[in-house]
Amino acid sequence: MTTIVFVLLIFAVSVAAGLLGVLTGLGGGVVLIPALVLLFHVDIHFAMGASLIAVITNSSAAAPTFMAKGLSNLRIGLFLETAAAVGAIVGAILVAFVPTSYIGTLLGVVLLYSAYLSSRQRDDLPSDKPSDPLAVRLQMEGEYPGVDGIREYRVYNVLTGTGLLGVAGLLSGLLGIGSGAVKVLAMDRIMRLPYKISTTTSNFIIGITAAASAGVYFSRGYIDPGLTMPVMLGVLAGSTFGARVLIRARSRVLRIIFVIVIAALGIQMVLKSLFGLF
Amino acid sequence: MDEQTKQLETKIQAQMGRILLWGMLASSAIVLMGGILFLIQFGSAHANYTSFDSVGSHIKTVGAVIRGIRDYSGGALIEAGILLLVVFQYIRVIMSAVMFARLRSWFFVGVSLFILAVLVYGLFF
Repeated sequence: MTTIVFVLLIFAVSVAAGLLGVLTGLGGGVVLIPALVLLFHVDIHFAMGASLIAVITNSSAAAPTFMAKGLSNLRIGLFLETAAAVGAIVGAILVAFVPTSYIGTLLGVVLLYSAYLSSRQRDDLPSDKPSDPLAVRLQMEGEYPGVDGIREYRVYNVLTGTGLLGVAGLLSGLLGIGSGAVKVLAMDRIMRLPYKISTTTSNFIIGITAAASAGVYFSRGYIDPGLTMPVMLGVLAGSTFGARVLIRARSRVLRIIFVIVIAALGIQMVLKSLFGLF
Repeated sequence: MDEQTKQLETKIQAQMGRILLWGMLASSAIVLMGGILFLIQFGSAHANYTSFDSVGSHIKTVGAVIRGIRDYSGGALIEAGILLLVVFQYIRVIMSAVMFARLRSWFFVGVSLFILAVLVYGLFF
C-alpha cells in the first residue's frame, strides 16, 4: 500500500471512530486503537500515540460548547486532575515495560466495560445527606440547570473519587485513551454529581490528562506524523459531524447497535492479544 | 459561593473555551499543511506501520522538529502542530491558576501549579 492510499483509508476510519465516539459518549480513542490495530495491522504503540493526540483535539474542540455555560466544575476538575496527571505520567512511562499483549488485552477489557457502561440508563438521584466535609471546605458544591429550574448539587466521597481518577489517568497513559468512561463513572456514581456536570468536568480535564502523557509518548517516538495527521483530522471531522447528528437523532436502536460494535471490537482485541488470532 | 465569584468563574471558563478552540484550529491548520507537504514528499512511498521497532518516529525532540522544519520536512511540520496543541493544554491550567489567584483561593492556585509542574515534568521527561 502506498502512503497516500494508507493516509486516506486511515482518515476514513478515523472519521467513523470520531462519529462513534460522540454518539456513544465514549470519545474517539478507545474505538480508534482497535480499528487501527485490527484492520490495518498498525503497531499498537503508533495507534496509541495517534489516539492520544486525537483525544486532546476532541477535548479542545468541545471546550467552547461545554465551558461557555460554566457547567464544568473547575474546583472538582482540578482537584481530581492532580491524581489523574500523576497516573498518566506513570502509565506512559510503564508502556515501555509492559508486554504488548497485556496492553492489548487491557484495552479490550476497558472497551467491553465502556460498552457496558454506555448501555445503562443514567439517572440523577438528588440526596438529602450533607456533602463530604472536604467538599464543603473546598467549596466544591455548585448548581446546575435541571428540568425544573436551577438546582444545587452536593458532592460525596471526594477522596475515593480522586483515587479512581488516579486509575483513570494510569489507563489513559498506558493505553493512549482519554479514559472518559472511568472519569465520568467516578464523578457520576462515586461522587454522585449530576450527569451533565460529570461529563463537562470530565471533558475539561481529559485534555490535561492526555497532555501529561504526550511528552513521554513524543520522546519515545510513539507519535508518528504520517499516522497521527489523518487520525487527528479524521477524528475531529467525525466528532464535529457527530455532535450535529446527535442533536437530531437519539434513537435507542442506534445506540444498541453501537454498543454491539464496540463490544465486538473489545472481544476481538482480547482474542488477538491473548492468542495472536486474526 | 457568592454571586461575584460565580460570574467571574463563568466568564473565565468561557474565555478558556475560546482560547482552546483557537489553539486547536491553529494546530490543525499546521498539521494539515504539514500533511500536504508530507504526502507530496512521501505519498508514493510504501507505507509500513506494522512494526514499531523497525520504524519509530525519528522526530523525538523539539530540536529535531525545528531542524526538520528548516529542511521543509512535512513530518516535522506535523509534529510542530501536535506540540502546539499540547502546549495549549497548559493554558487551561495556567488560566485556572490565575483565576483562583484573583479569587484569593490559594489552595486551588497550589493545585493548579502542582498539575503544571507534573505537565512540565512530562514534557522534559
